[in-house]
Amino acid sequence: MGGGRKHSDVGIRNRLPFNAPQSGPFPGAPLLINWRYEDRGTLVQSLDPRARILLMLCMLGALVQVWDLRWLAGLFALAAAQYALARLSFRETARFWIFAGFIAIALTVFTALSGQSPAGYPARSWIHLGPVTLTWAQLWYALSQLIRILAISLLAIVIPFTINPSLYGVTFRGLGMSDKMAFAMDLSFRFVPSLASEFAGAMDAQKARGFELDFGRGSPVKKIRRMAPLIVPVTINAIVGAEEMVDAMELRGFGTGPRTWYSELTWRRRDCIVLLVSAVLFLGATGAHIAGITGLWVPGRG
Amino acid sequence: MNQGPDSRITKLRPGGRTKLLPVFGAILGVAACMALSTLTQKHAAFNIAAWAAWGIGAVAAIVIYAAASAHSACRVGTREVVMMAIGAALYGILASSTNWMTISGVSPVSLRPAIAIPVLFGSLFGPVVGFFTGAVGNILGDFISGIGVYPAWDLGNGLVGLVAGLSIIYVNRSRAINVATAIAVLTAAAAGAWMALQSRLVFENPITGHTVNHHPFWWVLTLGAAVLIAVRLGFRRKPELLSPVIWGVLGVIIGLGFASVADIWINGFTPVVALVGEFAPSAGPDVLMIIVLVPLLYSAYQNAVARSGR
Repeated sequence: MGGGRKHSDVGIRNRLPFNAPQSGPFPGAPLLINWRYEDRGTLVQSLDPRARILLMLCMLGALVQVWDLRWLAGLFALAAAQYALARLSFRETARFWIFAGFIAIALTVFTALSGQSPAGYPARSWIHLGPVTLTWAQLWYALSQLIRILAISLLAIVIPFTINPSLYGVTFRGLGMSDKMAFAMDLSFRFVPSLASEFAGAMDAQKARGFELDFGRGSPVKKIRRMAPLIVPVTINAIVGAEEMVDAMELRGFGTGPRTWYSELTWRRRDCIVLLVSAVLFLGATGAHIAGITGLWVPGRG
Repeated sequence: MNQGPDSRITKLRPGGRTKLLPVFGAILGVAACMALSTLTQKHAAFNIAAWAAWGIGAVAAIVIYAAASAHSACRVGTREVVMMAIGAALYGILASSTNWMTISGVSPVSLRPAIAIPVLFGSLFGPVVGFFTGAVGNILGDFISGIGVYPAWDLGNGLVGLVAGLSIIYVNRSRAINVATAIAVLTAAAAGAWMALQSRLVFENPITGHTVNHHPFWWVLTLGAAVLIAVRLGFRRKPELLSPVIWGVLGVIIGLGFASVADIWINGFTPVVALVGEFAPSAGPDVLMIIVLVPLLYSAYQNAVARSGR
């Protein structure tokens, strides 16, 4: 199947009972696992998954090298455009945004308050928060960090919602991985919902036996040992179950020769355009970084 | 038939050779770009050190690969493929469950009991499985949590599993333990001694130009070396349990140390912020998690294998 064909079914959905409230393993942390792929027929989903992953990697490489907020704004706008074109509803991604937003804001506030400020910029005060004084340069530095983190989150959030899980294997194979590595990547994504279900089941079974994850009592060693009744059964059951899968795969001749894939990906003109844009972004950011023009920008310096 | 963890060292089933050279080539290419870019920045002495560090790291990785890849422990067969997938999925799920427990104010570094998973899988099934479990598992965990993709930390978690997996190259468990302990203790002690002898260790943030004297932190590495020796002596009667623990601790130091140091250039941290703000809060609890959870998991696995008759 090419990247532009729609699937006859709605796509591969997970079978987990996520309609019910999640009883997560840790206090205040519901189980967040939710591969909600859906064939939306969007422009983003019509692109070859290989091109999309290369675009993500090139944009990441560009973001890492840039600190100038003007450049960052452009990259952020590109990432936001991809998110908008994916047509993901806020309800679908609300949990991700709450988590990512919390981390981004906490990191930015800490950076701003930690005193990290560009050397050589005037120490012009802007805000007094009790004993803490924020300078103009500190604020722009923190803002640049915030935009970077949000841009990285935007790039990554789109991928699991808009790439068909059945295409992960052939995608990574097409990116140059060996058959075995690509198949392992494919299997990893496929195992996540089933192992998450087992994890939740193990948690419920242990709770029925009086198990409580209480991080408030005892030494650090005791707190860690308290997690063992949850982690050990899930891990060992997964390994033991995997041994049967190994036997089944070997009986079917896995690894005896080159692997063929059920799906086929073909490059189209729009995918080539995406590749060109990716290369321009990464090479342009690298060249600009080498030329020394992507450093932190603080308006009003002088 | 599948083998137990010790017998697989000499009775591994043949598998395909993993093609890692293109990956190393890509890493070298990225390192060359970053090195070239840092050379154009001011304060060339610091940048040359950064360039040298990248070069040494890349050469070391290739040397380790060349030396170890011919070993049967690095072969990838059907069993290794499935265990890679299981390990990565398990690590991703367990890591995402605790990603909200951030313990560092400078980056989304969190408490992670699941660090025992790549260490366990590496020490049971080899360095390739350990690397895949750590790297892909971290990617999955970050995907699930929605906090983005952090390649340096993905690579760092992969290194944790890879280093832990190197232990199975040694048939003699005691020798494996002693080698790992010696590497870690000597490196930490030498680095701590060097720092102690310097009157001033001033590093400059490559982004902000902020300078900090790191000399007062020499005792951290020396204390780390002492802790490792204590762990070695504490577990001396159970080498089969100590080996994955020691190699796992070494893996955490190398892997998370790499990721923290990389953030000096990626996030613009000073070395002290990277080491104290990221490395210490992530590696410290991880070492404790490994010491407590890995022996439990290892013993449970041995019991399960014995009961299953495989």
